[in-house]
Amino acid sequence: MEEGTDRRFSLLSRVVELSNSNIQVENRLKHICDFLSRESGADCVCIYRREPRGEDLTPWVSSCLGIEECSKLDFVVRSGEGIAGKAAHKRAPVFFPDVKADPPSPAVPQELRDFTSILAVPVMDDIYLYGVINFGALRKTSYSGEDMALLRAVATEVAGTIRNSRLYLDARKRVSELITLNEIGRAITSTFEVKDILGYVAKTTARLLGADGCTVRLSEEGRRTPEVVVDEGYGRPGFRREFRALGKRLALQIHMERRPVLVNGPEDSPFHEQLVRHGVVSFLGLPIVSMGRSLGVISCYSATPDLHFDMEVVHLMQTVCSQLAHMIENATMFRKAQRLAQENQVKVQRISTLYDVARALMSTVKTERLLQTMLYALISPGGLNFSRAILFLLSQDGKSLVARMAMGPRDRKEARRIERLPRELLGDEAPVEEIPKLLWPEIEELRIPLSDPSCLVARAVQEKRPVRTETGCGPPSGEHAAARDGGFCRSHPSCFAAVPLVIKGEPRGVIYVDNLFHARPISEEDIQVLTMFASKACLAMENASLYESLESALHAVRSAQDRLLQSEKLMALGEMAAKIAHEIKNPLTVIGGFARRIAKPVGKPADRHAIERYAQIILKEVQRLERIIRETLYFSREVAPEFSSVDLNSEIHDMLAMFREDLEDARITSVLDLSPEIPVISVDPDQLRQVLWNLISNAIQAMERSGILTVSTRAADPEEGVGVVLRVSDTGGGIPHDVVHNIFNPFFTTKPKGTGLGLPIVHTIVEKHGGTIHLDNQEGKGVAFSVFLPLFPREAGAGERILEQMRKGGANESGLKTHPG
Amino acid sequence: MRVLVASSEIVPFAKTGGLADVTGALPKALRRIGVEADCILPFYRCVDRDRFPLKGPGRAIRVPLGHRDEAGSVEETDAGDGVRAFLVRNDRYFGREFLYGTKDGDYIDNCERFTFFCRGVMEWILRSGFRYDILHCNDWQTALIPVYMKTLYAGHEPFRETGTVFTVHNLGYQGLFWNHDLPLTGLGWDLFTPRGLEFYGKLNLMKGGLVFADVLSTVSATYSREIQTPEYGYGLEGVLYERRDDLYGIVNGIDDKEWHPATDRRIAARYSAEDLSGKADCRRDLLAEFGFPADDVPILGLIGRLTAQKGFDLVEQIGEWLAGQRVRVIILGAGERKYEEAMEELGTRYPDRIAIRIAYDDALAHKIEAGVDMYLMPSLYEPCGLNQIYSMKYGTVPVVRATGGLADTVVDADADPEGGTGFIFRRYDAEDLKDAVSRALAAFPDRPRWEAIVRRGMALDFSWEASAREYLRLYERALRKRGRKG
Repeated sequence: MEEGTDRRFSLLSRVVELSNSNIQVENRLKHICDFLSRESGADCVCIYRREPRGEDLTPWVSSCLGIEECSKLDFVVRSGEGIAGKAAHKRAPVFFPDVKADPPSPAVPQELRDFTSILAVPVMDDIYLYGVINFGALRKTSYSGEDMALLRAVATEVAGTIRNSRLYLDARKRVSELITLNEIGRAITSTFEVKDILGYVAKTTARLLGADGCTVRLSEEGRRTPEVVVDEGYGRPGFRREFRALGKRLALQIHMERRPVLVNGPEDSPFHEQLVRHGVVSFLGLPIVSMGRSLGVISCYSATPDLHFDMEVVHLMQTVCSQLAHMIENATMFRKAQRLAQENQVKVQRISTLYDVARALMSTVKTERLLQTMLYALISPGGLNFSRAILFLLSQDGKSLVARMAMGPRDRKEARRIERLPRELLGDEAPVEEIPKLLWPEIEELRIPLSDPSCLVARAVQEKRPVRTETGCGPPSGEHAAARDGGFCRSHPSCFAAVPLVIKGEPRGVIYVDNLFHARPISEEDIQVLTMFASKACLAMENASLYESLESALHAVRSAQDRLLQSEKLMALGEMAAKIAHEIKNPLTVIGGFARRIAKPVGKPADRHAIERYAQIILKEVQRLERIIRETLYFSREVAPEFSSVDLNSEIHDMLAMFREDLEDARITSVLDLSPEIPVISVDPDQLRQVLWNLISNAIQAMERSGILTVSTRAADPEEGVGVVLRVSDTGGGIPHDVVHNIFNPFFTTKPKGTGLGLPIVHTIVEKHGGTIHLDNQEGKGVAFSVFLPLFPREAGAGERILEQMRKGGANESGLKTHPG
Repeated sequence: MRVLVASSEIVPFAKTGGLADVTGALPKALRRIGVEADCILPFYRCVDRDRFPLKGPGRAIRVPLGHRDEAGSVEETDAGDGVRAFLVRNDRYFGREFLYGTKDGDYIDNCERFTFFCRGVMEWILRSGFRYDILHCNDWQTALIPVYMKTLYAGHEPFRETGTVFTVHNLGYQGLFWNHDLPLTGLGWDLFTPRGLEFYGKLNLMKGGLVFADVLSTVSATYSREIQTPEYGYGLEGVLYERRDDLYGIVNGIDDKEWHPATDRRIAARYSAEDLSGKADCRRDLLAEFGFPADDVPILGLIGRLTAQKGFDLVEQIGEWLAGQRVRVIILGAGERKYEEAMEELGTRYPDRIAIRIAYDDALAHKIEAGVDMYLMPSLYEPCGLNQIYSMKYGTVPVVRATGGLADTVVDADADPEGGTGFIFRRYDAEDLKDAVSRALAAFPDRPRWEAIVRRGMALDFSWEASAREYLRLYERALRKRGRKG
C-alpha cells in the first residue's frame, strides 16, 4: 500500500460518502468493494455476511479483479475456521502473509483460492459482529500500521452501513406489519362471516410473511380435531394435498398443547425431517386461544430456502391470533343470538298465524263458509301456507272417506298469484272473493276406502294421529292395488301430510295437505301447527253443526206453531158456525112454530087476535135474526166509518136514557161523571152509539141484581195523545181470570143470551177510529173499560198491540193502563 | 378528447433516455391532430424554473402513503405547442440531483417516490376539477395509476369514464421491490398474488400496469409479439400473453425538427429525395472527419450504446471478416467496457477500414447518419429503434436484424424488390449477419437500384403525427372498453 495521509483521507471520505448514500445497501457495499479493490492493492475484496443464526459466514458482496467473484461462490466459513472465521472469532483483524507456506488451520479452500496474502478484518461495532471483510492478494503483500488502522475504520464504517440498513429495513418492515395488522383488525370487525375473515387473514399474513402457504383449522364445538377451514397458498401442484396429513398432526399437537410451534431445525420438533421431505424449510403454527380454550390452529409454512420464520413472526402471529379468537367468539355469540331470535320469531309467527286462523274459523257458523275458510287458511300465505288442501269426511257407513272440499292452485302460475295475495284472513283486506275461485268442485267424486292399509290418509283416520311422509303411500297390496290404480294415492305428490279430525274421540274426517308448488318440505313443526289447526277446525265444525241443528229445531217449532194456529182458527170457525147455527136455530124454531100455527091452526081456527100475536112474535124473532146477521156481517166485511163531529157527553146521556127501564129493573144506580171540557171529536156517530150500547149493556148484564154503573169522560192525558177518554165501569164481580183473555174473541160469551160479538165489535170500531181500549178487571169487584178516542181518527194499528198483549195473559200484569173507578 | 400523458421523464423538463423523447413529442403531436393533450411528471430539481415559469400558485395535495399522509403540490407550466405540463412536487422525493438514483445505484426509496407520484396524480385529478378521458401511463414509474383506477379510485366521479393506456418502453426495468413496500401503495394484500402485483415474492409495479390498464401498447408490433415469449418477456410473458388481445404496437415517430436532411444545420449540406447531391457533400465531410480518403468505397455506420442488446457480440465476431471486405466502418458510441475495448482493438488493427469514436456525440451522430451509405443494427432485441428510421430519412440504407421495431420499419430489398428499404437478417448469428452485409455491398454498385432503395426509405412517413393518429385509435379502443363511444 502506498503511503500518504491525503490518499488515506480521500479513500476514507469516499467510503463514508458511499456508505451514507441513499441507495440499496448491496449497491453501496459493492461500490465500496470496487473502490477498495482499486485503492488497497488487493486483487479481491469480499464482504462475508454473518448468518442470522449462529456465527457462520457466507460471501455476500465482492469485487474481484481478473478472477471469478467470491460472492458467486457458494460456501460457508464457520467461526474459528479459515482466516475470516478466525477474525470473526477473535473479533480482531487476522493477517496471513503467505497462506501457501503457512495456511490457516483448519483451512477453507474456497476462501484461499489462488491468494498469497489474506487480511481479514471483522465488520463490527462495539456490540455486534456483522461479518468480515477479506482482502485477498495474489502476490505477497504487507500492511502498515496506518493501513491496518484505515481498513479497520473502513470496516467499522461498513458495519455502520449494514446496521443502518438493517434498522431502516426493519423499520419499514415494522410499519408494513403494523399497517397490515391494522387492516386485519379492521377487516375482522367488518363482518361476522368467519370463513371470509379467515380466508382474508390467511392470505394477508402469508403474503406479509412471505410464506408459501397458510392454513387455518377450526375445531367445531364438541370435536377434538380441528378441521381445515381455509387453505391458502401456492407452490408445486399436489403439495398441499400431500402436506395435509402432516399438517393435521402438527395442528392437533398445537391444538392440544395450546402452544405455538416453530420448526426451523431438527432440534425444534421431531417432525422436522418429515417437513423437509415435503420441501418445508420453516413451519409455524399457533393455537387460536380464547379464555384458555383452543378454537383452532393457524399455521404457515415456507418452502423458500432463505425464509425462516423467527420469534418476531411468532409475536406478530400471536397478535393476529388473539384478534382472530375475539372475532370467532363474537361471531359464535352473534350466530347464537341470531338463531335464538329467528326461532322466537318463527314461534311468534306461528302463534299469530294460528290466532288469525282461529279467529277466521270463528267468524262464521255456516258450514259451507266455514269449510271454505278452513281450507283457505291452510293454503293462504298468511295462514299455514301449504300448497293444496283437501277435506275428507267419514261416510255415513263409516267405511270410506269422502272428499268434501278441496282448495289450491291448479298450476305454478296460480300458485305464484296466491303467494302475492294479501295475507289477511279476516277483515276488508282479506281476499274473500278469491276463495271460491280456488275450489275444486270436481273433488266430490273422490272416495278413499278406509280399509286400505297402505293409504296413509286413511291410516291417519284409523289411527287417529297425523301422518307426514316424503315417500308417498305404501306399495299397493292385493285387492286395493286395482282400486287405487290411478286413484288418490297415485295422484298426489309423495311429500304430504294428513291430520285426522276427531270430535269427542270419534274420527270424523281428515285434512290432507301438500306442498306441490312450494319448494320447502313439510316439517315436523308444520305437523304441530297442523294438529293445532285441526283441533280448532273440529271445534268450529262442531259449533257450526250445533248451530245448524238448533236452527232446524227452531224451524220445526215455528211450523208446528203455525199449524196449531191454523187449527185453532178452524176450530174457532167451527165453533162460530155452531154458534151461529145455535143462535139462529131458536128464532127459526119459534118463527117456524108460529108460522105453522097460522097456516094450520090446531083445533079451532086461529082468531085474528091470535094471528096478530103470532105475527108479533115472528116479527120479534126475525128482528133478532136480523140483529144476529147484522152483527155477524159486521165481522165478515169492512164497514167503513163515516166521520162527523160528535159531542160524546150528549151521546152518553141519550144512550143512558134508552137503558133507563133496564137500569131500574135491575136496580142499578148509574153515576155520570162527564167532563164538560172534553172537545168535540170526529167519529162515526152510529158506530159510537154501538160502542156505548155494548159497553153499557154489558155492564148492566154483569150486574144482575143491583150495582153501580159509572160512566165518565175526560180529556186525554198528553201521553195518551190528543183526544178523549170514555170510561164505563160496573160492580158486577169482574171477569174470571181464566177467561178474561177471551173477551174480545168473537162469539165468546158468558151470558146465556149473549151473541159473543159485543166486545169484539167494540174493539174493532175503536181500532178503526185510531183509538185504544183498556180493560181494568178486578175479580170479585168489577170491571172497567177505558176507551181512548183521538180528536181526529188516525191509522189503525195501535190497538193491535194491546190486543196481542191481552191475548198473552192477564191485563193486570201486562202493564195496561187502568183507571180505577 | 382530453388526454393526460403521465411519465417519469418528459422532454424538455427531464430526460435520461428515449422515454422522455416519446412522452415529450407525443402530447404535442396529439395537439396537432386536435387532441387536448397535457402531460404530468415529477417536479425534479433539474426542471429549469427560468425556462419554464410556473403558472400561479400550485394546488396542494395530500397523498396517503402507508400509515401517513405525505403533503405535496401540483404546479403548472407550459411545455410548448399548447401542451400544459403539470409537475408533481415534493422536494423530499424529487428535489434530488438525479431522477432515479446516483451513478452508484438506484435510490432506496424509489417505490415510495413513484407511489407518491402515481397517487398524487390521482389525488390531483380528484381535487382539481380537471377531467381526462384517457390517462396514458408509461413504464413502471406510472404503472400504479391504472391499478388505482380499478381499485382504490374505482367509481370516483372524475374517473368513472376515464380509460387507461399503459405503454411499455423498456420491459427490462419493471419496478421490482420487496413485499413490505406493498402497504405503502395502499393496495390490499389480496392484490399481492401472481395474478396481481406479485412477482416471485416481490412487488412488481409494471405488472400492475399490465394487469389493470384498459389497453396496453409497446413501441412496435413485432416487439409486442416478442415480449409474449420467454426469450423477450423478462418473466412477464405470461401476463402479456394473457392480455394479448389488448396489446398493440405503435412505432415511435421521429422529431422532424431535429432529424431532417433538408433542414439539418449540423450536417455539411442539406438535401432531399429529389436532389441527393447534398448527401455526397456530407459523405465527403464525414470521410474527412475520420481521415479516410474521399473514394467510393461503401461506408457502413453504427451508432449506439455498446451493449449486448445492440448486437455488439455479433459485430465483434464479424470484425475480422468486415475488415476483409470492400467497405469502411464508422462506429460511434460508449457502453460496456468489454465492447469498448473490443471495438478499439478492431480500430487499432484495421485503421484504414474501421474507425471507432468512444463517445456520445449528437452532432457527430447527425453527420454519420447523413454521411454513411449503409447503417448496421444487428440488435439482439430492439423494442422500437430510432437510428434505422433516421438512416432511411437521411438516405442511408439500414442493415438490420428482424426484431422488434426493426422488423416493422425496414423492408428487405431482395425479398421485396419493389418496396425494399434495407437489408434484413433473421437469426442472431454471425453468418446471417455476414450474408445481409454481403447483399448490401453487392447492391451498392448498382446505382439505379440503390438510389431507388434510398428514395423509398426517404419517402416513408415517420412523423409523430402518424404515430399520434395511431395512439388516438388506441385511446378510442380504451374508451370503448370502458363502455364509452370513442
